[in-house]
Amino acid sequence: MKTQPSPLCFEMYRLIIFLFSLTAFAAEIEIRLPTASPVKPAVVFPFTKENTDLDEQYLETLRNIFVFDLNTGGFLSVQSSGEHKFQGKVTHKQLEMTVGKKTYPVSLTGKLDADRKVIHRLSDQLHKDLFQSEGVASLRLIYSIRDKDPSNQWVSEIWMQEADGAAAKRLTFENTYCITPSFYPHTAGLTDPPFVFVSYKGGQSKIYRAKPSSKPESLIELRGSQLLPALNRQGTHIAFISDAAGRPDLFVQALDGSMKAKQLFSAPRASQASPAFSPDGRKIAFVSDKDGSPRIYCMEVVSKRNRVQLITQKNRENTSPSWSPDGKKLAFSAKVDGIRQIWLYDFETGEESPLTTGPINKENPSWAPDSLHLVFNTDEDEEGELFLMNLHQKETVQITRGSGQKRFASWETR
Amino acid sequence: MKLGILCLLVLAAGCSKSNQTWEDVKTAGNYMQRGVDSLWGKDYESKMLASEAEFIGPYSDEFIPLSAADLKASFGTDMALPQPKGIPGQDGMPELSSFYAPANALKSLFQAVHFETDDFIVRGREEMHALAQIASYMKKHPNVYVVVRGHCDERASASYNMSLGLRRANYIRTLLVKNGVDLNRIYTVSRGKEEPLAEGHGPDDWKVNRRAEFKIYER
Repeated sequence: MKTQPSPLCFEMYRLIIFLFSLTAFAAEIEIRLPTASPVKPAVVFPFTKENTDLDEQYLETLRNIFVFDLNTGGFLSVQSSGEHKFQGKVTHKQLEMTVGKKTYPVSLTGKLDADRKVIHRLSDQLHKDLFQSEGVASLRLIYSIRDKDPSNQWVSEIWMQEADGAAAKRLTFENTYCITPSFYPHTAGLTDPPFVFVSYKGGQSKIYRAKPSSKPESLIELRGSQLLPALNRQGTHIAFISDAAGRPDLFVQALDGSMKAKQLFSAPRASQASPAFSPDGRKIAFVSDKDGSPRIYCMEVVSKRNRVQLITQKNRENTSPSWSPDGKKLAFSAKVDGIRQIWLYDFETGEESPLTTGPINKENPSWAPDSLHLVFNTDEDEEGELFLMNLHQKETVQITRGSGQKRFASWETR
Repeated sequence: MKLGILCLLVLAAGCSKSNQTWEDVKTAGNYMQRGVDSLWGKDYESKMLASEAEFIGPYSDEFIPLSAADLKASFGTDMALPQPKGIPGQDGMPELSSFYAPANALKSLFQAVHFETDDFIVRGREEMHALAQIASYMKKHPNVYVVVRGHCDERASASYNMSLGLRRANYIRTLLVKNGVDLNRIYTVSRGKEEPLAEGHGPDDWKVNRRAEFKIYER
């Protein structure tokens, strides 16, 4: 006959296990699971040349642009040796890039501004073929630069540049305060891409639409102030913050004028900020301090009830959400130990995790169309620079230099 | 001489009480004055209002507001007011950029109002009093228009501060309207943390920067 363990003995055993687990957690065990890094070593040989007017120095400049694009692409790390070998050969004005058994021919012009774009597009194509993820090196960023004018007044204007920081171009000449720009969807390759932004031209913040070649025109005809515009990826609706009803509320409006602006969310004693559409355009993530400190909430654009769902629970102060184009993640800025860092919320697991560390405030993250790259800006003592990062490599790369505070960067889409 | 000292001592001992009595007398006096004034048809804010809508007027039909049930839930203590009818830059209404900082005598009247960290409510008694004085000035001068500019300190993010500044400006506007100023003469602007007065990074600098400022325009 089998003897049963006495219930008392069993309880004792459970208690011991419980106490042991307490001491174990007090020491905070960190378990690191071995995962294969998606970043592979690569080598880029110096370009060889044959029958060409392009000099060595110019070719080395192009090679450096190419190396930057590979290093920040999220899949390769250029070293002295590696499994992916890139050999460039320039004949006349043709560059042939060979990797493995495949050769990619591209035409050069000899002019750096144009050839830089050629290299970016080549890099994007290579990422698409090698890693099934089209690169984002050829996509531009739009952002604002804040600085003091000669009369010591703060002014801010809209700029655009390539993702590696080159070819910065000023887009607005309003001599006022222009902030929070974003491109309309599908502007990649356009020489005159339309964009929206907020301008204080009349003294009150209003939302405008402009192109680099044309003067800004008012987009939202509402009384009061309008702030923090966000377009959906379908290009049909715009979400923004407005005090048209007397407090900073969330509004949404159809861009074709088919529907009046609609007050979407308001709460007593609360400020709403920073809307961001989900990629299908059906939901909006936004900031509200309705429950005390600013947190990020999510709601459906078309719903009968004014119901919102809290997303960020780990940290007290969360702002500037950006929804990844694949719909799976939300990047935002969260205050940890007094410093604002970039964090990630995963819609599949419901987990929040930090992407950045360090002593400088970081905010306004924005996803690239590949859902892998992010751009954000630092914010410290009236100074700010744009940084590039991707989810595979945690190092951040500074892509702006020079005077002025660079902020509110966002990507164009294909 | 001895009697005088005794009197002083007695006064000092009953100081708080006699102050209280004096305040009560003043308050009662104010009410008496108002009662007498109203006999002659002088109108303070003591109108009988049946509903909030009567007070603030109907919402403009520029946008689709949230349904009444959502709004009515608990907004009683935190009233929202529609924006002024006159659109800046149209129909003779100047752009808000041509509003100017009050000068000379008005400078001390239109002083900035300050806020606690991440808060939009005016808590100081003196500042409430200052706002009441601004309100009475505006009631006496119907040609004066005001823009309230909400500012924040540097600690929260730039985007959130944009909204917080707007919240502050609108709260000040509501207080002025509750003090009897025509809501069509008060505009709101948020400057977030974009225009700090004190450029340092300490608690005193932050305190200076968390403010609502006034710019005026006399038509």
